[in-house]
Amino acid sequence: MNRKVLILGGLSGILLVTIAISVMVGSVTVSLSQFPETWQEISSGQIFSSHATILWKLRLPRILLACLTGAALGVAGAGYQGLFRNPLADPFVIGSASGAAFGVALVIVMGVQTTLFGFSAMSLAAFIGSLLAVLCVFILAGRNRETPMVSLLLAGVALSTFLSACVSLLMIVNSEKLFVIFGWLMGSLSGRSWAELQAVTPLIAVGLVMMWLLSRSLDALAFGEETAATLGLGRKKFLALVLSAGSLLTAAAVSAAGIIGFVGLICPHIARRLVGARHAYLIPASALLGAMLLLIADDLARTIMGNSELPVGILTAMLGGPFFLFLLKTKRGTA
Amino acid sequence: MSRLEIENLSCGYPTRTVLKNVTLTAEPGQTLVLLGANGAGKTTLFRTLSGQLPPLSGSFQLADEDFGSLSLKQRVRELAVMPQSESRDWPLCVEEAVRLGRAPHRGWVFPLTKEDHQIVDGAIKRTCLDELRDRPITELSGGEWRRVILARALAQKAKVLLLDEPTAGLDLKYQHEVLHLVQSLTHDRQLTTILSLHDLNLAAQFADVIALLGDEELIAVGSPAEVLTESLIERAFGIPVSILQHPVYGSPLIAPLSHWEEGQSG
Repeated sequence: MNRKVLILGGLSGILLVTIAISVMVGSVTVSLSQFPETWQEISSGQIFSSHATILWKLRLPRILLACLTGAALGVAGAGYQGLFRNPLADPFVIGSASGAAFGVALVIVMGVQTTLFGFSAMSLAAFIGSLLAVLCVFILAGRNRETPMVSLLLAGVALSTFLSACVSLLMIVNSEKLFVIFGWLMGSLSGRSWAELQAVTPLIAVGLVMMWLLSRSLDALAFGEETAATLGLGRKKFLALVLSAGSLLTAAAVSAAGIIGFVGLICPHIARRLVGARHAYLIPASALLGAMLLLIADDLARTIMGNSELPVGILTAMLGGPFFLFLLKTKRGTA
Repeated sequence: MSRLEIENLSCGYPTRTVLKNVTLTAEPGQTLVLLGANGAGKTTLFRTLSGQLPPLSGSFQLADEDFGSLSLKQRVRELAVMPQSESRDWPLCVEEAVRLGRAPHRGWVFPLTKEDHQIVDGAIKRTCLDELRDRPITELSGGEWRRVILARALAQKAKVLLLDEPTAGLDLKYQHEVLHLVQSLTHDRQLTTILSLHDLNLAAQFADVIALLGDEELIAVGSPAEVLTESLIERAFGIPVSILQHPVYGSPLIAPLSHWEEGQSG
């Protein structure tokens, strides 16, 4: 047990170092020697130099948003894998991604430009679309007042396929907006500011705490639904809570950064290797790893191509895919 | 000390009755074994007793308290269940798995108390799992896994133990190991234990009381010597047997006669 707490401490330390490095690198490099001076300028509130402006207005909120979004995806993945007792589950398994994509495509095609609570129309559409899709899946999968897990997964797949087809149709019919939609679908943190950060922070915080509080119930589910019930787990309430926490996290992440694949799938797997399967440790570890992975991917996305940016979703998949295969190859037991 | 009294219980599904009018009493400190052919209703009875299936009619009481009136929370404190096949999807370690037995008392959110940890430790020691404490449950053998489930039931401090085929898939040695453990726990802690078995000889050796199910009802209840007779077994299982005597324990030893029967009729 102590060892697991140490590992969580170590992960937090590595994340802090990654954040510090991320602050320094980018189109403008802020070296360690320049840092105190720049920081003084920022804390005085009188920001004039380009260094301080870039650091405070662009880089820092983006870094923090990457961490939060990554943590949200990692924890939603861990929660859904636990709920469905399936190592293939990810935050988008019950339709969140396609719901968000459809919402965004619709808003782009219709040319809506409103903003609300610091959210752009696209972010709002993503958030609402994602939650509505999950709600639809939940209603469609129910029968006789029961909601079998398999039905949830199947309804998720069916609705995702349907909505993806709708998005493709919208893209083809409005080919002049194809690149805008496509760019959003790839996921990106480019140009995010404190406003977006402020808007998603409370949502993600609530989702993270909720999922962590569900740890012991998720553990019990490892014995199967029948045994979990004989230990007193009320199925309906539990299902509703996990789905709410998971879809809140996913919707917040999607509204902040678009669809970013793989983070939610692999972080729980790595976390399970490090701290074991008990969700009380697995969930914080998945959060820390998710934050780290998305932050590193975003650092690369904004630096690797010189002046232009890559969509971060491409990088998470390019880093995540091979790493996942490596994990599979070296796996012992059923990790 | 809680005797489990089943009165006129009918169980099954809304569209199909599996068992009718079962009246049966399980005493604390005794091992009651349910026997019956596949589909005779052993698992259905377990599911009804554990609250997974509502009874079609009739009732059952634990220590004079009607089960139907107990809340889910109270019920799960009284009853520990080992289903026929229990999955182990994630590599929780043995100790973590046993700790979940405290959930009916501690709930799903609050941390375990010192007392909980002592109970868990006691359960692990009693089932000889000390050395496997940190082993992932996915790496355990079938026999070890059954011991973990029993440890969890002990941690649960339940008064009634329902075990649906606890020996399924185990080799001879582990079948005896598990049943021996069940028997001694039942005796030491005065648990009310009901288990189902497929193997008649195991039942003959370990049961205090046998309840034989067949034709949608309870055919016979009694000691192994009373229930394991040639006529009753043929009635319940549809196959003639010859009863011998265990050379050491004197309990009934059942020898099936399937080939002999075919030769006769052919």
